[in-house]
Amino acid sequence: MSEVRLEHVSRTYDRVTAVDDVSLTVAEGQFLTLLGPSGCGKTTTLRMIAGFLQPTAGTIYIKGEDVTRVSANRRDTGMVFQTYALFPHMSVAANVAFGLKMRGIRGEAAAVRVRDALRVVQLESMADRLPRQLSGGQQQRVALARAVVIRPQVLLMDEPLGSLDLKLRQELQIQIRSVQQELGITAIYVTHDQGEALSMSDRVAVMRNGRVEQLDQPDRLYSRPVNAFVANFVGRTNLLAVEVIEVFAAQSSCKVRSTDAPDLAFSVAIADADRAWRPGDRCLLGFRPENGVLGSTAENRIGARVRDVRYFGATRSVALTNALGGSLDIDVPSGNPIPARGESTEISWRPNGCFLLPREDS
Amino acid sequence: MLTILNRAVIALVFAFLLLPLIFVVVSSFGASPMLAFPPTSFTFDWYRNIPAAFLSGLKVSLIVALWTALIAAIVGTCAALALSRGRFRGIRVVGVFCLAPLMVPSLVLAVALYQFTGVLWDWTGLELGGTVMGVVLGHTAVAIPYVVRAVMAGHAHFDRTLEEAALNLGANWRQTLIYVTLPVLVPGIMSGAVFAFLVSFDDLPIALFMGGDASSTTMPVKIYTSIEYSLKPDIMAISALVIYGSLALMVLLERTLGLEKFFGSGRA
Repeated sequence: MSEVRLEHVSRTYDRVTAVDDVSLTVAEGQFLTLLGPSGCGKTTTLRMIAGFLQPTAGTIYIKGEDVTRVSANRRDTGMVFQTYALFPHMSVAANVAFGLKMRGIRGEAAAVRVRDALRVVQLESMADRLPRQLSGGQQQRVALARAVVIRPQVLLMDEPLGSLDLKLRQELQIQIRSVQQELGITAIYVTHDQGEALSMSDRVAVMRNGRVEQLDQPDRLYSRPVNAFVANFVGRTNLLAVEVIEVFAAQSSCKVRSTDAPDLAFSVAIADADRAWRPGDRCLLGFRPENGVLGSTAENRIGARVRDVRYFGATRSVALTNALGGSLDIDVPSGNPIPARGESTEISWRPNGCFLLPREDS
Repeated sequence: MLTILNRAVIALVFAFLLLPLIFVVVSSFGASPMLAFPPTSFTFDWYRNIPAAFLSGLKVSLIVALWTALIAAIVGTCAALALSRGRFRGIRVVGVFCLAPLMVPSLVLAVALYQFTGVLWDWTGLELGGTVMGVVLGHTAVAIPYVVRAVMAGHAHFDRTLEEAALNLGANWRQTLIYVTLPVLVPGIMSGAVFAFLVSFDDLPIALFMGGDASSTTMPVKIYTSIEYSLKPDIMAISALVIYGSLALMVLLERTLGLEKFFGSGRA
């Protein structure tokens, strides 16, 4: 049974639609991330699940029960806010105990649970401090303990690491994920950081303009984006405008050619058959920078001129201008030789290292 | 050069503020029955012989100021919350109205209150005219704006997600108000209450009009009526006592809460 289910949920503010007909389910114990640029409706969606906002249409279920009209304090969700929202006048322990107190759990029973929760986030020794005496990362861990100590049906996190620096963010990503797994708690996480979404989630919903563009496992999201927006928002993608010439063996692969230079043809292996391509379809061919190689070793080739090289430790990122005047990015392992800036070369990639996407305007 | 000038200006300002107080304290120890400065000989007599009427006035003043601070804090906090959060027609008019007593000369206000409450007592049958509570009522009217302003200033920095967090953890709106909102606003409420206390303690005209017999005569009224007849060092003695009290209170506040926080913006 799914823990959280949204059915055709919409929210409009004075004629502006923030969330537009969103339907999704989160299975018990699953970690779902709502990913998207600011203004895509991800936070609005989360706030509707928490009960801080009413949907203008649609139904929200938690544990199979319709909670659309249930007020926030009776929904049994645990929320972690970007600004921590710790009660400044209460000690760490009192903050964590607050939800228990509201549920009538006091005294020794509450103290044990507060201690356990603080141990899970490794802040037992800070129990008597005030929030302002803690660092940002510590405060957010207290907020996490406060949210999970009440054993909510679902843990909601609204960009919880948004105001922390990179290194701390990575540490806390691991900690949040391990706390979620240890407790087996259903979680919905909001972020605009695609790396965070890919590394933490069981499934990711990519949102744009109030709609879910794609809801998938992180690896499928990355290797099989459904459109150019997802392809560009999750990782980087090289895109070429192409037209389908031929489709082989029940949609297993096809041949396409560039719409700008008809003599440039490429082969594409089609992994999933949820879209049937037909000859004459105009679409986009995409491949990831790490799937392209310098030289003509793979089947699909295009001429290019090196524009810029940037060093990233393990890899170098090579920016090129292709034969059609468009831009290409290739990641090359740092040991490999790289042509000098301005030099002409060839880029190649394999048919199963690329994908077809519909044109945005079609 | 600039720093020397700066210091000179600061010293002058301090002198201007503090010299009258020092004058009062020094005069209160002068042995002469007439006010003379500097005093020629030293005595504690004036302290020993502070007229009982002054001391009872001081007691009335303290009682009135405490009640005023309490009532103004409660009413003012409610008003400030409504003005900070409410969305109703004419909210700005109400806001200006709440702060209006700050702009009206208190003598004008006193006359108005005197007339208005006369009618009010007639209508309601409450006979508060000339009682301690009558004076408190008048003072509360002028004290509320101070609380409203202090609490609104504190509220401007209030993070509303704290209330969402409380709600999310299962608190209803009443529990949220009691456990989260009010405690976070306490510094603003307290500084507003202290101002309310001071406004009441300081006031002459309203107490003059609203007060009655000795049981509701505040110290400023007592001093005012007595200096109409004579200006003796016993007035200096009771005044000096008030100065000592204020000084002690300031030291206490500084030690416990920090004065800056108190008289600053009412922020935590």
